[in-house]
Amino acid sequence: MSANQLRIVVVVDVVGAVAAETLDGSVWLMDSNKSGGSTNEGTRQLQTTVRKGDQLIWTTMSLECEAFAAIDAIEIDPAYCEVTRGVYEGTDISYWLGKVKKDPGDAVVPYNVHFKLGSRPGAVSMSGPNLPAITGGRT
Amino acid sequence: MAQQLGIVIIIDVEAALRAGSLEGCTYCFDNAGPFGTTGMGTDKLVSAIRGTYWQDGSQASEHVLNFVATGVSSLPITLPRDYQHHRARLLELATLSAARAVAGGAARSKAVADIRTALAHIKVPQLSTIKLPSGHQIEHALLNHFGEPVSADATPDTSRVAQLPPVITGVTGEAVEKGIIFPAQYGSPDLVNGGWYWSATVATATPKVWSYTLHLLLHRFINDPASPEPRWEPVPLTLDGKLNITSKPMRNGFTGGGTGFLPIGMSY
Repeated sequence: MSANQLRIVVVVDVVGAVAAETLDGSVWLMDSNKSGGSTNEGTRQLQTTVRKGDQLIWTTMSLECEAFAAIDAIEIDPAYCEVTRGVYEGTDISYWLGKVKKDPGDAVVPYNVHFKLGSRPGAVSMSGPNLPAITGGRT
Repeated sequence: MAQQLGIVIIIDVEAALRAGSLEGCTYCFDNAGPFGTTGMGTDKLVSAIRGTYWQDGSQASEHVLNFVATGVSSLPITLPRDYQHHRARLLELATLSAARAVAGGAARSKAVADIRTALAHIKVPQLSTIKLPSGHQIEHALLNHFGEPVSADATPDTSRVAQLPPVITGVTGEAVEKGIIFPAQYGSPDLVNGGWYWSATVATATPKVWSYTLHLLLHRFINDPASPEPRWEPVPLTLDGKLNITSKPMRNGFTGGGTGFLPIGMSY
């Protein structure tokens, strides 16, 4: 089984999150790996199945094209996944690249997404415990 | 002023093409979650539309829907839609500069091997052909998931090529036939979707759950070694959506009351 590149899209209702002052109910994730065994597609608890060597590519999308949203950080156990920020050359649009260092097997490894939203100066993140995760067993 | 509602459709294109259906691999959203939209993140979106009347009882104006479609494996829609041209152009400029260096070096260099080495470093983008339903074809430089041009000397692997975003080609169904929504394609100075987007106005004085059908065009990536270059074959699919028009009053997000003049606030 060769290493795959898996895309993960994080959708944010920026206006909803800023108005309610919480990301609860305003974040949904989906990946390109449903046929590889990922579950909870279209929810905030997306569980992406991976294998060692896979590359995960996170991007974000705001529900309103006028509202700014960017991923500020991905917080995940570095023993399983090493993350770095990249930029689409010639733009200020970023992506986050995660390299799977260790196959999680049956373990469920949660991660948190920190966002910059609208004109808010600081970053906001999801509150636990209902977080997205990676786990082993990608087919 | 009319209320604006954005309807976002994100498709797992590879899964949809495999299944021959958008069901189960399409994730729909709108920004009326706080007003009662259901089915967020699923292929069964029921968008809440308020506004038969204003808070003060007067007749409300129409609602506007704006549709945006993209793919899970497409590049972010926040990138310029002509981004592939930009990246291919950068690569061509680098190629020209490398060719100039070779020409300059050739005058001095006695070794043909040096020239061969220099030529080996010249990269050109892998082009592909998009077949339109009309039979016309357009050229598309392939980009990978990081927005980099796929090199013409590499065999492109489907999973490492950014998918063409799905294109909305029309809106039909009950809500259109009964005159509840009036869809049209509009030009926009925003280059997202090539400067075109689908929008619909909603007659809000018709409280009921209405259905509509979105017509989408997906593209299957075919890398046939017998063909001179990879190609994208169009695959039309449809997706049903619903609008739940209620007689609940429109609400002003700033005041929580009816729309109209905003109260005079503190000076900042």
